[in-house]
Amino acid sequence: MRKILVVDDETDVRLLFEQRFRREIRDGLFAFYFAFSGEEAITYLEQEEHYSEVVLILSDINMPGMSGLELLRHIKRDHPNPPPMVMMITAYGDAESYAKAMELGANDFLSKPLDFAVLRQKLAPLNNT
Amino acid sequence: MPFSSPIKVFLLLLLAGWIHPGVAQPADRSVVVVQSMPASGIVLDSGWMFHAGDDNSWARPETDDRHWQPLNPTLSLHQLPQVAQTPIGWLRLRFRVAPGLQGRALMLGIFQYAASEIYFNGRLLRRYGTISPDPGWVVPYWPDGQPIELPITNWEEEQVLAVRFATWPPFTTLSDFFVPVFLEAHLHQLPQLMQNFKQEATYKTSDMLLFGAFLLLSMLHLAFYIYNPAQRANFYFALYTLAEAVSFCCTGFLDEVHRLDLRVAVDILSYVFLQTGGVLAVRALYSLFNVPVGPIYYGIWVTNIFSLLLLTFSHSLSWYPTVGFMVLVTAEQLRLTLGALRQTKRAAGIIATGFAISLVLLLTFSYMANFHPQLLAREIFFIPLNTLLTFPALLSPVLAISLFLARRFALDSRLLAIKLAQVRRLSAQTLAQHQEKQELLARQNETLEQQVQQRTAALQHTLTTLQTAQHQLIQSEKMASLGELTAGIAHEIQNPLNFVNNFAEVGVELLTELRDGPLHTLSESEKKVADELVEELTQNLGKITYHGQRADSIVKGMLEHSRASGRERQPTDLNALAEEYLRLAYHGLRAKHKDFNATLTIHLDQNLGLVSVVPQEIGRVLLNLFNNAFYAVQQRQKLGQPDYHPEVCLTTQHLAEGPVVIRVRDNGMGIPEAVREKIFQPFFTTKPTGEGTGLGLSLSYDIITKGHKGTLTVDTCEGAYTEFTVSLPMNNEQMEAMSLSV
Repeated sequence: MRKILVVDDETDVRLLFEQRFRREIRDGLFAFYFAFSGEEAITYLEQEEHYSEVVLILSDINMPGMSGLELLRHIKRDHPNPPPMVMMITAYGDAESYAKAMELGANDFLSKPLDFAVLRQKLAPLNNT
Repeated sequence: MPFSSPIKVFLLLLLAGWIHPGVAQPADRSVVVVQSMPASGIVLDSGWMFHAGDDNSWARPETDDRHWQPLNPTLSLHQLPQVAQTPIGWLRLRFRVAPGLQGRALMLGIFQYAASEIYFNGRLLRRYGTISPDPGWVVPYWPDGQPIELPITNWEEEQVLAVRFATWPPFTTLSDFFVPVFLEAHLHQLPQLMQNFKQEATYKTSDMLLFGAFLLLSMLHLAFYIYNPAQRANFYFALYTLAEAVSFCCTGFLDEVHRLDLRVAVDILSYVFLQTGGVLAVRALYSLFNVPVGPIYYGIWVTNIFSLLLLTFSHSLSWYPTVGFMVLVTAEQLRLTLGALRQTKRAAGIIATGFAISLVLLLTFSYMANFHPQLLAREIFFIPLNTLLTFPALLSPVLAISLFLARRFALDSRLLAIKLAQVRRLSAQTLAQHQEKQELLARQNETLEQQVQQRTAALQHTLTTLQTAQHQLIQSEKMASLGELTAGIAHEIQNPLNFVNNFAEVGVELLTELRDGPLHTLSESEKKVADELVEELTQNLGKITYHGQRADSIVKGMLEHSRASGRERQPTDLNALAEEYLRLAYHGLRAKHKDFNATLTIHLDQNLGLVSVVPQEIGRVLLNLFNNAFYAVQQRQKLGQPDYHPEVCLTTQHLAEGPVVIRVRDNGMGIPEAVREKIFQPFFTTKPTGEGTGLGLSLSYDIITKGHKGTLTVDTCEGAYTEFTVSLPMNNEQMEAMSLSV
C-alpha cells in the first residue's frame, strides 16, 4: 500500500482528494492520510510504521503554526534516509517560496488551484514501483 | 612856514624848529630897518606897537604911537593875552629900507588868525574878513600870504604899516598847534616870492599825488574786499589808505580855504584822519598776519582819541601828542611785522622792506635837515630833494602793504586756479566713475533680472516637476497599497476558488459515473427524468466551472502585479515591439469584429536604439494600451457620427539626453473627467461585465513605474482623444547593463 500524506489546514481537502482519487483508492493503488497541520503530520510520521508506509508527502506551505517549509526542513533533517518524496503545494506561486522549497530539498512544487490531471500524471510513476 | 607846510607827517617825526626864517635885525626900538633880504624872506616880528580900541586916524603915518604897547604879533594868542581879550585893536610898525634894497619892489604877505585891514602909510591896501566891535559879527579870513606890493614913493622916508584887526574868540580855546600865530607879516622881493610859490606848488603837487595814490590804493583794495570779503585785511587797508587820502586832501587844499573857521576845522580833520589812518593800518596788519586783536589795539584807539584831544586843545604840547602817537603806531607796526617775520609769515619781508626803506629815507632826511639843510633845497630834475626823500618815504610802507596784499591776492588766485583745475579734474573723474558705476549697476541689474527670471523659470519648472512627482508618488503609493491588497485578496480567494473549481469538476465526473452506472438500472421513464436532472446538474456544474475559471483568471491577473518585477531585462528594439503589438491588437479586434476598420498612423524615431526592458512586460503594457485605444475608437464609431474616421496613432521618440517615450493616441471617446483619476486603479473598468477585468491599466502602471522606473501618464479630452504616454528612463546605468548583456 502506497500511502500519501496530504498536509493542509483546509479540511475540505480530504473530501476533494477522496473524490478526485476515488478510483485509485477503490482500486487500492493509493491510500491517503490527511493531516491538518504541520505538527499533526510530524506526530503521524514519528510512528515508525507510518513513516515507512508514506511514499509521498503533499504539503501546503501557508498553514497556521508550523508552515509547510518548516515541515519540509523537519522531515529532510530527521529522516535523511530514505526520505519520502515531498511535493509542496502553495497558492503563492512566487519565486521566493519556490526557491526556498527547492533549497530545502522539495521534490516538486505545485500551485493552487490544483490541476488534478497534472497531479495524477506526477503520481503515476509511484504506481510502477 | 610851519603852519602852511604841506607835508606835516614827516615834519612831525623830525625835531621841531629846524625851519627858522631869516629874521630882520631890530636896529631901533621903534623903527625897524630892513637890511637884507634872505632867501626865505623876512618875518616882521619886532617893532610892532599895539593899541586896543578903534580909531581910523591911527592908520595915518604921523600918528604918535610911542606910548603904544610894543608887541610881537607872531606869537600865539595865548602868549598875547592883551590881544586875545581885545575885540578890536590896532597894530603899527614903522620901518626903513636899507639903501641896498631900495628901488626894488617889496612884497608884503600876511598870515593871520583874525580879521584885518592893512594900511600902508595911511592908505588902505587890503581888507581881510569882516571887522566888527561885536565878536559875533567878526568873520576871520586867511589871506595865505597873498603878495601885496608896497607902494613906496619915498625910499628914504620911514614907512608905516598899520593893521586894524578884530579877534575871533573861538581861536583862544584851540591849541597853539592849530592857531600858532596871531598875525605874521612877511616881506619878500620878487625872486623869493617866485621861489616860494614854486615850493608851494611842489608841496601841493606831492600832496595831490599822495592823495591820488592813496585814493587809488583805497579803491583798489576796496574792490578786492568787495570781491573777496573773506580777506578782511583788504577792508582795513582800504580804510587806512582812504583816511590817509582824506588827510592829504585836507592838507593839500588847506591854503585854498580862506574862511578861517573852516580852515581850522579842515586842519584838525587832517590830523584826525592821519592818526585814525595809522590805527587802521595797525588793524590791517593784525588782519594781514592773522594776529588776534588784543588790548594793545584798543589801547591804541584810546591813545588816538586822547592824543587828538591834547593836540587840539592843549596850549603847550605843540605837535608832540601826534608825534608820540605816530611813534607808538610805528612801533606797533614794527612789532607786528617783526613778529610775522619771526614766524616766517609768507612774504612779511615785503612789508618789512617797505618800512626799512621808509626808515632809511626819513633818517637821511632828518640828518640832512639838521646838519645840511641847504642840501634839501637842491633840485634834481626840478624836484626838490626833500620831496624826493619824503614822498617815497611816505609811500613805501603803504605800497609794501598793498604789494603784499596784491601778492597774496594773486597767489591765492593762482592757488585757486590750480585748485579749480584739480577740482574740475576730480569732478570729471568722479562723474566718469559715477557713470561707470551707473552702467555697471545697470548691467548688473540686467544680469540679475535675467538670473531671477531664469531661476524663477527653473523654480517654476522644479515646482511643476515636484507637483507631478508628488502626484505620481501619491498615485504609486495608492497603487502599491492597492496592489498589495489585491495580491493578498487574490491569494485568499484562490483557496476557496480551488475548491469551487475542483468540486465542480469532480461533481461532473460523479454525475457522469452516476449516469453511466446506477441510472442504467432504473426504469425507462424514471431513467428519462433522472437523465434530465443529471443533465441539468451537469450543466449547472459546467456553469460553476466556467465562472470559477473566470474568477481564476481574474485572480491570476491580480497576481501578475506581485510578479511584475520578476523577469530579466534585455536590450529591446522598442520600435519593432510596439509596431508588432499594435498590429496584433488590431488584427485581434478585426477577428472578432469583421466590419471594424481604423487608420493606423505610426511615427517611429529611428534613433531610438535598443532599450533595456523586460520585453514581455512592455509588450503586455502596449497591448493593453492598444486594446483600449481600439475599444475607444470602436465605441465612438458605434455612435454613428458622420465624417468620423477611427485612428490610432503610435509615436516613439527619444528625447535628447532624456527618456524614451512611446505615445499611444486614439481619437476615440476620451475619458470623462470624473473617472480620470480612477483609470489606474485595479478593478476599474468602463467595459461591460465580462469584457474587462479592470486590471489592464493597473498592471501596466505597475510594470512601467515599479518594474521600469518610468512613468505612465494620460492626456485626454472627452469626446475627442486620449493619449497615453509611456516614458522609460534611458540612463547610463541602463546603457551599461545593456552593453553587458549584449
